Amino acid sequence: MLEKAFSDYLVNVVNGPVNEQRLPVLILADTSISMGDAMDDLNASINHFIRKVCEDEKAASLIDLCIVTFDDDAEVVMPWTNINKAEVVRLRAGGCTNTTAGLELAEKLLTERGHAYIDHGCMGKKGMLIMLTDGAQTSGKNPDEIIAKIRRRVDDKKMLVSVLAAPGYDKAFVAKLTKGKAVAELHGDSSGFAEAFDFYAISTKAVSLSAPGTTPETPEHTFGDPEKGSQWHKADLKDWLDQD
Amino acid sequence: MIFQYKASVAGPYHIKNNIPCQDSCAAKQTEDFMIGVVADGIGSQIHSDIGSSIGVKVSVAYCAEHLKKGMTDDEIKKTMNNAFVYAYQAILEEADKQQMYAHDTTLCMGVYDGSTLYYFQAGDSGIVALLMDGSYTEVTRQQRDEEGRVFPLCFGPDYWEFGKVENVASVMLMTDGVLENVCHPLLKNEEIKINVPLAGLFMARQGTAEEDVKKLEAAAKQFLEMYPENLLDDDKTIVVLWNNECVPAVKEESYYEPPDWLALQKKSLEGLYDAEPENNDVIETNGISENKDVVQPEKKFRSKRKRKKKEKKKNRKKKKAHTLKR
Repeated sequence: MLEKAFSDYLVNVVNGPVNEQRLPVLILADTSISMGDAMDDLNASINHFIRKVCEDEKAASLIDLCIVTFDDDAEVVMPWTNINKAEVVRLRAGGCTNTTAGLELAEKLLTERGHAYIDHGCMGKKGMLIMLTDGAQTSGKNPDEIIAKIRRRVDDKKMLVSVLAAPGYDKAFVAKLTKGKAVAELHGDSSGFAEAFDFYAISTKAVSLSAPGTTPETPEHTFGDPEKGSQWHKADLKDWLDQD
Repeated sequence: MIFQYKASVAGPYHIKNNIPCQDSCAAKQTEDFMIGVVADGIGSQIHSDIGSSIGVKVSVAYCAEHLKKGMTDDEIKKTMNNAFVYAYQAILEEADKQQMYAHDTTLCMGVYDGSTLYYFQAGDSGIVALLMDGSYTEVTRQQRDEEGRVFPLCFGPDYWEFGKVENVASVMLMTDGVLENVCHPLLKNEEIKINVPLAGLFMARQGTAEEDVKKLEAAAKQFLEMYPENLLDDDKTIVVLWNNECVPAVKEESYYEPPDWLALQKKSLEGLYDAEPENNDVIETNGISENKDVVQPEKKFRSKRKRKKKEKKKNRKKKKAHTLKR
């Protein structure tokens, strides 16, 4: 029989500190002028993403969302917010494509979020960066430095990068950033954003609810499977690597 | 006389997924010391259970053979350091044999003479001591990077840490799962940084009969097996050493009260969100309204810091304009 002191503790520990890890998700969206026609679809898709994650109260309580846009410069459209409290977003397009600024701000915010969790006694999972891009960089500084920094963090398992590549995106740039992994190309019109963010809603819920240190199961979804009618195809970027 | 007991059980996640317990532990009485050690194989490495087991065996055996009474602190430090080097070497030899390098582990050792505790630390396992004044203290530091990723044994002597604590009545070595329930991150900024009721459960012991210690060990193992999964789903390992001739002082009653976890969690979350929307017309997404995809007036957010910066800039401009006018 269990010693009384031990059993008493087990009875009283029910209100103990639950072993939960928060999940920071940062959406980095290209809002340059070329995205103009696609903005309504993009806004609706992000709002659908927020709403769908919030269908699961438990998952939503653990997910922190931040939205950053980049055009001439990068801007925080929604600072770190518990997704339960996220507001409806409406992004607008205009300006050039300063991808470097966007990535620099996104990387900084994800790193700071990890520090904030530790400072406040929370446990956090590795941050997810979901980047949406439709074109080559047209302004800003050389991205090589920030790409190398992000690659190091991905290799160190400190963050995940996933790229949604709309027609016209810069393959060489995306290849450098991702080594060809976790890139989905849109083969259709911007209505396809809905499918992608629907997938992200399901997968972020799965990740947020997975036990610490475990690999969550990939949710069933049409996303990335052209045979199931997906508008998104897995990009093959190997041929584009290391080109001058 | 110094006593010891230990318990190590696989975590619920490992059990469900047929993953072996990756923790290892040992305690060994020598003529002059009681040596305790715990190791936590790195979860992502498939042979880390073997790594942790080798690390424990080799380091304890080396210290048992080489640590002697009368050694200076420097000599003890060198001996413990060498024990870790040989442990790592043995792990690498095993990895060579298997032609697969997936054996990383943490290693945390305490050497106790009944009053003084020497510790050597590689990774994020840890040690809590009960001092003669009745206070519990975390003597080690979890070696992790700024985002919480562990520096295991393979990081080498530049990362390993040695220390000494005096007036110790009891010692508990733990792998990170138990450690984070005893020294919970939520207590980090509190006055009492230890979950005293949980630490006391294992450490405030005065039993002397061998049979009592065996019963205690069995009870501790059962307790760890029954510990709620939502509070701890990792492997769970403890080694407790105590000197029955040392009776620590009793602190004020409030010291032994359980922390108010709900209040601590609330306080922690409050600090995480420092920005508020500028527009008060908030549409809660939690309500799953059908109108969520309806385009709303554009709302942009700025962090408080950014807003303050902007206000300052505005004020500076105003001031400059005012000066120019004059």
